[in-house]
Amino acid sequence: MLVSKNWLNDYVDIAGLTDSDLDKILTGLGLEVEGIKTIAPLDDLLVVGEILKADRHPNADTLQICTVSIGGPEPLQIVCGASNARAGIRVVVAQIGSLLPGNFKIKESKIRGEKSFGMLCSESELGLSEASEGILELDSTYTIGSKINSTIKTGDSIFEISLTPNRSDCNGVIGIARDLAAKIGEPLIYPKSEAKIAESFLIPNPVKVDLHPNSGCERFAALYISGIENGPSPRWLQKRLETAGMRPINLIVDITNYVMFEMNQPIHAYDERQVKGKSILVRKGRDAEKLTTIDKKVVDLESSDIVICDAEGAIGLAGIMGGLNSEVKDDTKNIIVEIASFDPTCVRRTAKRNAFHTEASHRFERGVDIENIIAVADRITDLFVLCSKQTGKRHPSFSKNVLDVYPKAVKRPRIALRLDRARKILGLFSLTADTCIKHLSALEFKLLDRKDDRLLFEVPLWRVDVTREIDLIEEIARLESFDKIPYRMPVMEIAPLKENPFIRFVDEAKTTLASLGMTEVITYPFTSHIDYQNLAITNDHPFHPSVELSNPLVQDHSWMQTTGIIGLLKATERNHRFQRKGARLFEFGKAFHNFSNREVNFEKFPSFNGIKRQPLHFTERAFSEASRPTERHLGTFLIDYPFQKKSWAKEELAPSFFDAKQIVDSLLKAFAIKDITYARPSPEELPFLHPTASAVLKKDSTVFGWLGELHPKVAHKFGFEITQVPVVCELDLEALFKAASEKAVIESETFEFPHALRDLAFTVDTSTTHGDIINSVQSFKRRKYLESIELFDVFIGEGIPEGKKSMAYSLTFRAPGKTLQDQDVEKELASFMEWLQTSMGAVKR
Amino acid sequence: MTTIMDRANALLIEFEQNANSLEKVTPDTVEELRIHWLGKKGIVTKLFEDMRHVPNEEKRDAGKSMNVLKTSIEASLDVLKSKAADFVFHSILNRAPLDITLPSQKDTLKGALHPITLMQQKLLKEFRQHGFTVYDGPETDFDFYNFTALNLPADHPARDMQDTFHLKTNQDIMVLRTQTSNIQIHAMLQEKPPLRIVAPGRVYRVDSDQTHTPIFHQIEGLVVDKKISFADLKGMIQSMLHSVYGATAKTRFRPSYFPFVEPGAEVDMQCTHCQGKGCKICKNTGWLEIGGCGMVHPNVFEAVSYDSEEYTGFAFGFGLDRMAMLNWQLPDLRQLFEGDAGFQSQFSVFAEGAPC
Repeated sequence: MLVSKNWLNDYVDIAGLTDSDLDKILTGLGLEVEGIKTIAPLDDLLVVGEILKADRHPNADTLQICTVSIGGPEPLQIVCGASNARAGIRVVVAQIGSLLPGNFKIKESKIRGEKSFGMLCSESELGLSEASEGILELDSTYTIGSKINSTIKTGDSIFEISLTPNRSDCNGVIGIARDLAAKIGEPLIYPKSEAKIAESFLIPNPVKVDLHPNSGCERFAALYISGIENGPSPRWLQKRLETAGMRPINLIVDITNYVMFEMNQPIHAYDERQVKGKSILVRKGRDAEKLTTIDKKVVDLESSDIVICDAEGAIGLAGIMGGLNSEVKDDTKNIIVEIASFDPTCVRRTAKRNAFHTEASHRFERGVDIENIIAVADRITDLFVLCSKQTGKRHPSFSKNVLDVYPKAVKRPRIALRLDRARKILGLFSLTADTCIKHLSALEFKLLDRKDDRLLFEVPLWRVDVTREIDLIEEIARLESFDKIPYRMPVMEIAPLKENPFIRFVDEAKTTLASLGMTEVITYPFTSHIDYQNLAITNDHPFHPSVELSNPLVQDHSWMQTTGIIGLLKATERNHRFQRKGARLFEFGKAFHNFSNREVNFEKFPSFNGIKRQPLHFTERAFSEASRPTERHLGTFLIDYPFQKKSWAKEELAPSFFDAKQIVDSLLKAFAIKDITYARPSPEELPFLHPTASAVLKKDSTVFGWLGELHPKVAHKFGFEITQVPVVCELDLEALFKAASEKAVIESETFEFPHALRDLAFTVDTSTTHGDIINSVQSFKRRKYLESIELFDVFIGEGIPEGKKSMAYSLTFRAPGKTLQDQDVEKELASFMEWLQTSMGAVKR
Repeated sequence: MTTIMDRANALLIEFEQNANSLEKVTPDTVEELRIHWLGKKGIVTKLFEDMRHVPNEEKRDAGKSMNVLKTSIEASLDVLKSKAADFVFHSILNRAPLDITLPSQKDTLKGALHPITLMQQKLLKEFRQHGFTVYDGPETDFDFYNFTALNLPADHPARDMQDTFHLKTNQDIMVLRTQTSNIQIHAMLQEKPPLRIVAPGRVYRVDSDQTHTPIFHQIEGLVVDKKISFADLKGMIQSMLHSVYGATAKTRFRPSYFPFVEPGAEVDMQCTHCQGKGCKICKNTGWLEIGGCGMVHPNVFEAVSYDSEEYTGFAFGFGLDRMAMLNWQLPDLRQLFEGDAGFQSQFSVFAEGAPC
């Protein structure tokens, strides 16, 4: 909302306040000032003059030498290039020494040999409009010699107020003035009504108005005005509209707009010639009915729309925009003025559906003052009379009575205020009943009754936002100032609620990953079908997206992600474009699934059985909770190529499966999560990973996540070099958390007796895994002292038979309570080797 | 035939010649010498083996001289060993000097947390100290939790304040939450009053420019009890900001409108960069907008079946992204969500102590 200080000053005396005072007061009232535009007044040396004589310049065809009187004894000689400069007109004269907008100083000059003592100004030179043709012509009401800045008020400050939607009343300048007046303790001055209209200008009202029941129109007043000489409106009115950000059109439209800005009541004028039968009917839209609005948009009407009709059909979309068919034209003489109140919800829905946001719909959606309608009609009448006088045009005639259809009068609400409640809510114990009455009365809330500290108020209908006691308390706090409320700390007698430890777990997991050298990023969780195609995810895969936005920002942001990998791959690809390689990124986000929307064949994807689970925030209370999407907390990370950059000291290294595994193992260790196994997924389950360099993390049937080298085809799709693929990993944080919270035990036993170390190398089939060897330790029945084994070498090649590989382990033996003897160790070592031989055909090297 | 004694004496001389003629006294040459003389097949060991041929009456003297030989050699070897150690120290200390101006390994690995995480961790720490419980809520939610129960009924013009992402569902009743305030409703439906919670989280709006992104982050607070007033709200928020920004941080509360609170206020903090004098960061106002707050609207209490006469409460919501931007003076919000490795890696894990 743009509001001019001069305009505000019409209703409340704020002349003594600086812009900065006004800024503070308005902002303190909750009418936040977002910006102030100052318009400097014109220089005192700019005066009204009259051209006495205009002669052709002897040396230039397009110039004239004007003799201009500015009231002094001697007229001035001024050279002027404007073609409309002629004897007899009044103009703005910039005298020598005056400063024009844009810091342009007028000096005595010689133009093509003729002296010029000043300048005749155009509108644009005066900063009154963007562009103009010729010099500004003033009418005879301007006194010769008078200063322009006292005749045309040009100095002003425009306040840009960010209005909150509850303050519909402040969509009118008077509304803002009322708040200001109440705050600074000045009276609010309503616009003065002009003298009564002479009987000769009163005519019978020829208009008929009918409201259908349930039309959505609560009140409709029709004012008939005839014999208008339409044309440009007076300069002051145009200027006012410009300060409000509105373009002047013509007298009729400008007056309706002016009153709308002043009194927050949208008004529409219909050209009487086009209103068939001079009859108006307000009803709901009909099927297959169409209306072309003033902006030439064809609207398909629906039964929820409120429509203004004449005897033949629709002529306006109520509360939003008039119809093109009944639009006021430059030659319009007679008008029917609509001043009405429409149902906010109906207006809002119609406007939304047709993507309208007009000054009228904005106001009707937020609520207008239904009581104000006759006052608005009177104000319009006054302005037509005033403008006809000022522009010297014909005095229009007005219908004797405003036709006012108001089937069910709305009553002002009555709200009781308890002083102790106000004190309790605000924590302002010094608040008195008199203070409350003072503030609320200043806002024109009427005190009806007072019993001790219980006050009963009647609330004016322009304050649609005030419906309960708490709203009265807010008004008091606003006018009293929030600054007067003290600072106190809440005294609470309760212990905090038990916190869900998962929240801390997530934070700790983030910090752990960062301490492992990973960089946290946040990317948008919006994805498209193409992303999943690029990941080779099929339609029946659990990762196929199932939560769709109906209004995405861009088309390829339509689906909520089901994996964090897309965001990381895109961020990494972007990093490559900026020559940043080798990043190790991680992101904690959510996967969104709606399995009630879509069938997934989990038998085909057994690893992901666990994703189909009840949402964390499922509560039985609200309706249809079953359709709530599942939000899974994910921790995703990516290690880009190269793992190690080439430098003078080191070789370039590619990231490997095991680099990701190391991060995962460190994380598991940090949370004392044990007995996790790395299982090979079926190729359908993780189609975006290298089929043999990928794994699923499992413990029993619970899946904790997956990791692996990106599939080269997927890498290619996401813009990576296929020989330089990243390794990626995604962890299901809820599953990890459950495993972690199963009690972490810190091993604090210190060993009194030394252990013995032995190395053991053997060959096995290449298909035998390290996991198999680990399992064979578990199943080694004669195990007595063997504590742990650690792999230190895997070798295939020279000296090893075809189809075999050599594995070398370091074995730790320990006996509780004694130092191991060599022979005990040797015996068990031999026996373990024997076990490896029988259980998996290992041959000692 | 020479006696053992003679041989021992001769050998001792030979050893000393041997030892003196070592070209370099290094651990290797000394060890070689030891093996040659005292090893399993060494000269001295062999001599001991010859002892069994010595007649018994001579054995005592022979043994004596043998031991003298052995201990003398051992003593000499010890001296040589320590010389050899000196040689090693010397060679370590005298290796070719480093060009200490050579660069270290490029992009030294260091982890980083996202500035929003850092900000959130910092605030949660303070709130926990103030007795708040951290709460969590869903990002996809029913219109009911995000709007209706928060005193924003359908067709309310205040819904225009937040451009909302809607989910395609059968009835279009689900949204991506536009504010963490939905957690207020979840919490109050789950817990009985009194309560004191704080809830950080991601929120969504249909918006994208230099200062708006479709996702951003808030931290929501809610305190409900029998005697909670606006004065408590002011005290609590000021105390919070003091904890985070230092005890000189001045606060200002000015009336504003959020449908779920009444009275509602906007919280401004005196600009931390110019101390209120006016600068680029605060757009010359001297104040920084931190968030919104107010007294819980009775309509909200009634929507969750709390007794709105008995209980009062306050709620607040701060923008984490905004606080992070102010803290690190970041010019463009979008930068936070690009995953730029260079930008992100500047935020160390240990930045929590960074000045605000």
